[in-house]
Amino acid sequence: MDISDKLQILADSAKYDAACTSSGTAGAAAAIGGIGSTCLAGVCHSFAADGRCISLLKVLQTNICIYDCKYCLNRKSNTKIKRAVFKPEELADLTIQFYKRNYIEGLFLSSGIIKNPDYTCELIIRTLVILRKTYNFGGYIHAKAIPGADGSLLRQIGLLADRMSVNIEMPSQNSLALLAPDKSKDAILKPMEFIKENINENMRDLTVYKKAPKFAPAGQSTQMIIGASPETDSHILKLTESLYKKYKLKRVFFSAYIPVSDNSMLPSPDTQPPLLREHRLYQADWLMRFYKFRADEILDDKSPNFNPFLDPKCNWALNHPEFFPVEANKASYAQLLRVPGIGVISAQRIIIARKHNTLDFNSLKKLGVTLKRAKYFIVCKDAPTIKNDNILQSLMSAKEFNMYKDAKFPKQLDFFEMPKLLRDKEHLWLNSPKAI
Amino acid sequence: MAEFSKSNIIYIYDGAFEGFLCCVFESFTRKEIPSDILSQKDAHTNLLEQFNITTDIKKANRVKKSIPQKMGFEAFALLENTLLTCLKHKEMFMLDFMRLGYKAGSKITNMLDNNTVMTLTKAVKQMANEVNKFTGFIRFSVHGDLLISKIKPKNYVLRHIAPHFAARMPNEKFVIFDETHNMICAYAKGRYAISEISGIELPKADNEEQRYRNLWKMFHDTIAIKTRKHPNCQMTLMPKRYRSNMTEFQP
Repeated sequence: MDISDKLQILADSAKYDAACTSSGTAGAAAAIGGIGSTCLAGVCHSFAADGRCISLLKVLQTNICIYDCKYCLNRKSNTKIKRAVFKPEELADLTIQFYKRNYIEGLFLSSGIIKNPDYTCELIIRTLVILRKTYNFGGYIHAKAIPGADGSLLRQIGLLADRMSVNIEMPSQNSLALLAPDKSKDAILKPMEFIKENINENMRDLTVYKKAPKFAPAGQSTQMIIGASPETDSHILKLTESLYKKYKLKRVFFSAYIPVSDNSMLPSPDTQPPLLREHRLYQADWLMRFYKFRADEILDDKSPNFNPFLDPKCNWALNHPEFFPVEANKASYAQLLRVPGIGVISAQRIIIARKHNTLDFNSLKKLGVTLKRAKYFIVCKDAPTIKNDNILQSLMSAKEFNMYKDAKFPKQLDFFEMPKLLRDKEHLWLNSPKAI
Repeated sequence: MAEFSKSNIIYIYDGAFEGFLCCVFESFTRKEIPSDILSQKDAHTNLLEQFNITTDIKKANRVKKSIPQKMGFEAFALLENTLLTCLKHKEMFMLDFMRLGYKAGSKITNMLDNNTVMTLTKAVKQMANEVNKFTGFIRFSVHGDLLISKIKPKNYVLRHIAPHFAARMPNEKFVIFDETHNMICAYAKGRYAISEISGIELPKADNEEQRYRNLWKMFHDTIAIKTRKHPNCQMTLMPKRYRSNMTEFQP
């Protein structure tokens, strides 16, 4: 089998992994006699037809696997796919050739479990050693920690890679037991804990000795599959929050379940992947990481799932009339961040610009605030220019608004009432909808 | 400051930062605001009176020194970078910025609700975005021991792209050709130079090069999840203008 066939098989098997970021390692020039550097913010090298960024050469070392996870394309019982193994030399060489041509930022190496976890780890290590030692490669490497492998092997991977990840796979223990009978929650959380400990220890070493070898300097991330199991959005969000806290993860990725097998325990093969749900989860994840939201502010037991028509930030704003309006010239950074239509950059700009000048709506517009949304939630020097137009319409895209209007299911009836309520000028902030 | 009169004259300079500073010098000594400042390349026959300003390094240095002193290094960097952008009438905006800056001092870069300041800031931000895109979207072809690439940027991005690749591949030799502005950046052994060029002809790919191109195209196709096809999203993140020189979009 030649390289082309292997690449096709092993890229095809790796594509369902969502993470393809190359961020997190502070930029450093290539070593003497070496090739490759990293950028703190990462670099996207291309975009695939599905709109996802291609930053790394995302492949499996092998798609041969001893496990039989129901949701996975590479499960043992799947006889429909071809199997292949990359030799460490082949893969390292391919990475360098692609890197030189600026196709990629580095390597994303995952693997099926061949023979046993330790053997799989050793294959991965051999590939990474050739890259780092023989080629003196300084580009980005994201490697998967193989659950169940020996600690010393995981440690070696951590010392070679920029980022490590362990996929949590399912949002709850029950779903995991049901759909991935060979994996247990502990087997996944153990390496996660192990990586966290090693990163912490490494931080201490680095403060003492600057040249101490770095252990996964870009931290660790994880991924879970959305829509293959019955968890609510609120449950997933809380789990995400606790993962950030407990394991100091850099990112949690969500992957809309794409039917890859016909199994009675899984959604039927003709279901569409829940892309909107995945999108809402990423929006909420963003709110938690950059907008200082807590998971229980975004969703709670009363409304455990996302609003399909409104993004989580707008949804929160409509449900918290007591918080608004915010005075753009006085509000704190955290308050500004909560206003729909103000993002991280425009909030920072407001803070800078208002030191020198009292801001009005016109200057806010120049600073990049989306007034179409924000005008209902802020006041400035000049009086708010709220007319009797439709707040909801301004918070949704034209497409969303049409979908909402066309929606027939009964839950949407309360939605229909809203524009009327909001037309009541005096009680603009009091009569906002409660449960969306 | 005495009143400056608006003049019908057009300043013509060589297109370099020092040349622009000489225009500023003239504007201040003549106490006039020209109707436009153009680089020689963009200056066509015009009904308005033209004033050719030859670069005098002494004058330029006088102005150059005053910028960080009066309005800070941030303002200096903003001005230098604005000249690399494709902003229309950038020189006039820069002149206006400097007139403002001499009055306002170092807070000038924070006056984001000012039209001129925001125009400069946005133009530079847009260039930074383009630089960022190109660090990913540039494709090199390997010809012997030389890496060759062609790009078609809107802004003069070479000055910012060159250091990125020089740090990344210090042991390679590479050239990047900017076909919009007919400029070329060449790197070898720790040094790079940017110069003007009329055009280059790219050598044909050999078998080895063609093989890696095919591998990359195949990888690019394979990695997309077919059930999630989303051409609009792909288009937003990677507009068509970037694709003309990208391996994976070549037939």
